[in-house]
Amino acid sequence: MRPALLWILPPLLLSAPLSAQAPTSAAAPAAPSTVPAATTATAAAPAAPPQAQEQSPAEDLFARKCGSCHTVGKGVRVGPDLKDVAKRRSRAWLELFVKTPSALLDSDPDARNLLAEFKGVRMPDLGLSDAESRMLVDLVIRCSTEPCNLAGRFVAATTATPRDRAVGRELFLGLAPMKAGGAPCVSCHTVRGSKGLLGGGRLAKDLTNVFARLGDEGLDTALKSPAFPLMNKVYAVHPLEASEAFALRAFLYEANLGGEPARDDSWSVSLAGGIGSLAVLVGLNFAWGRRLRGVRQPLTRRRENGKEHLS
Amino acid sequence: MDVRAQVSMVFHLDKCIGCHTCSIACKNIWTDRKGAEYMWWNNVETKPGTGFPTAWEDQEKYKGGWEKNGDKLEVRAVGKVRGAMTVFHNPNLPTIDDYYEPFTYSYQDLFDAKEGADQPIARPISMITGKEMEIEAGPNWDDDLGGSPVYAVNDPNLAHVSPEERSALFEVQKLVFFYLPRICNHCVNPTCVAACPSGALYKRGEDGIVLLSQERCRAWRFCVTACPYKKVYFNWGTGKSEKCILCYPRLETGQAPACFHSCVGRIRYFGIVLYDAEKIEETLAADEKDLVTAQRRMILDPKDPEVIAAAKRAGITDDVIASAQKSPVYKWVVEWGLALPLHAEHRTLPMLFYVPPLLPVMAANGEQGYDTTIAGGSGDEKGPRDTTVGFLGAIDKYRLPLQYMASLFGAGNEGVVRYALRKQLAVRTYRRAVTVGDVSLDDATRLLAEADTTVEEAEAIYYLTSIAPADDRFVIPPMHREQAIEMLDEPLAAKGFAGMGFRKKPERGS
Repeated sequence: MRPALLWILPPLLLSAPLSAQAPTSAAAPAAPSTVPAATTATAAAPAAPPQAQEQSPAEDLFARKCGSCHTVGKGVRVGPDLKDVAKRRSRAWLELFVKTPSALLDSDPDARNLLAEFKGVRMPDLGLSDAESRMLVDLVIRCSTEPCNLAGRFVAATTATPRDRAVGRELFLGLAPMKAGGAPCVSCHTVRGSKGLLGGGRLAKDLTNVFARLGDEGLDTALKSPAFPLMNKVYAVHPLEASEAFALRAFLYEANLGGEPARDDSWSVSLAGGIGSLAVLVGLNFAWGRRLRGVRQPLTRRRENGKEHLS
Repeated sequence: MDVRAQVSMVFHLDKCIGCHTCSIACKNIWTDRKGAEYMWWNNVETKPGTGFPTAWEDQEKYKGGWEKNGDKLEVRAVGKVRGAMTVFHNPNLPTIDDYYEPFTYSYQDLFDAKEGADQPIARPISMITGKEMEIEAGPNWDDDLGGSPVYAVNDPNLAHVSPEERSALFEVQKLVFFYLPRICNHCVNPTCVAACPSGALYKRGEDGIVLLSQERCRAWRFCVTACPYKKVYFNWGTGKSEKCILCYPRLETGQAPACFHSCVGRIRYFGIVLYDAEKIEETLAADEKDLVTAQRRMILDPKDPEVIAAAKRAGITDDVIASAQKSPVYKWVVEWGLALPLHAEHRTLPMLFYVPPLLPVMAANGEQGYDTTIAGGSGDEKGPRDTTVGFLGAIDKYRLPLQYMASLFGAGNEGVVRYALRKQLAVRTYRRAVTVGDVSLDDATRLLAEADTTVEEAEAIYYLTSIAPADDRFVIPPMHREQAIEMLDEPLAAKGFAGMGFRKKPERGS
């Protein structure tokens, strides 16, 4: 009967005081060791944020839907660089792939090769209309030859003030609400040294070094229009504002400077959870273990001890 | 008026000789199975005593029945907080030791033992572990006041009895006891049904028999806790609870339940009664002292034309109404007011009623001990009997304290018990006047009037108590099972089958 008590544990675990996450950033040297060269270059630039020209609807759509994974001529990110893609594939194939990647990823040999090349990261179905996918293919063909503004109005994170970074920290930890009501990042992500509840969520990636991984622009697109399956759904109805994305980038930029390389320490949660459960079980056993008592045997014992009546 | 039919029972305790034939009949038919060895759907216990399982009446421990909380009735066993605390580890259950560890004997040793200096013996073997065991208790361990310093003194009903009367009860050579046969009460407001989280327990609409679906039971065992009579048992073999089914397969074929049929003392009466379901709430809301009378008011007169019309509107067939008009239960419970429910204070509205025992006919007589001269006593009295005014008042000096009987049968109200005992004493005296003649008929008739009865009624009570043949004691209504199952099944689907046994064997996890 006793093991059944395990059912009670999950809610208790949540409230148990666990310090799974040792804060490391405080002691870490502020050396930008892992920041790519391009970003350090902008970091050295003067403070005035560069104002880009207005976007066309197609460019805006690309920035929202594609930009977090793809560039046109700026290198491979999560997915392939799309420069001159029209020379590699037929137009019909491109339109179909943009509209419903799932239709091709499993069956088409070219698509399967791409999937293998990009380590099995599947492009999600973006829910585009026929017109939109045509527009995007047109855009990619155009941008392969002439300059485009695919990043939108962009302010580099390096220009942020300490105040911006503090705002970003509050947004990340959920101490200040997102304007559109989106969930705080810490529900699913961790940034080491940010000292959130349990060190942060474990559902999604550790974001300590995300600035180095995605770069400033990639991070901006990822925040405004995430292409990651779950995040895409969650933030579709509660999108981040440009100012919030900026503050978060500023916070993540700083985290990248101060953080150590990501290290898998999820075992610490399991260990603390295990010890915690054991402690709770032992406690329950002491408090509740002897509740089921017989009636008849105490009666006979009472008689042997010379006390006859119940009362 | 919302008329329902309910099979109902009366046990006449004066007639019970404590032979346990009923228990054996039930055991042989229903609980002679693996996992059911310890169960006694019918058991007979000695009162005063702790019964089976030990001290089942102690609801401080077992949390059975309903609790009146302001205007609301709450099941003592469950509730949001209590349920959460006990759902995986229920401490309000009898342990197997509180029932008893079922045992058999190694009879084969009597034949197989090697030759030796001593006679071979059959040792007790546990039917649970299969190993040799020391017998410490049985299903009727305190029978005839056996072990009374342990068991009888701890009868929870003695809490209402004064210390003097309590010690007088256990005076050597003047001990007093009676037998209390118990089966499931098939209550109108059963706590076991209310407490079941799986919906496995239900009350059959057409006759009110409370049953437990072996297919839906999920072994929560809240029914075991919730039943204040501890008449639901858990089968450790199948992982399902079980209870008395009032031998419904026998009833459906027109036979009395096995425990009724086999009763040597012919103490049991069976019949259907009609009650008004609209009055249930009002009845349940009654004060504890008024519960017995409120429950009687809920039962309808089956000869009242209005009731008959309402019963027909409710779909009760003419032959069932005719059966209710002949029901001996209606006479005992409502017409004569002699039969009382057991522990009505749990507000389950039990439909098994008991005629409280008049025997032993002895009254406490101050310093001199006990007076056995009242009504047919076996004392060494000589000369004419004193049946002057105040004779019936001897009931108040009754050998078994009235508070004790009221705790059992009156929900604490001595009045209803006193009424039943006085009437019985008057009828007994009247019959003595008729057959023996040492009491004058005039005196006897006066006593009948004092006890709120008449010569005709006294004759009827006498007839049903002492003369009535089986057909008058067991008025089994036509069960009309074919109509009841029409709602769920094709009535002819099982034509040609025996209709017995499991459709699907009860198994753990199914």
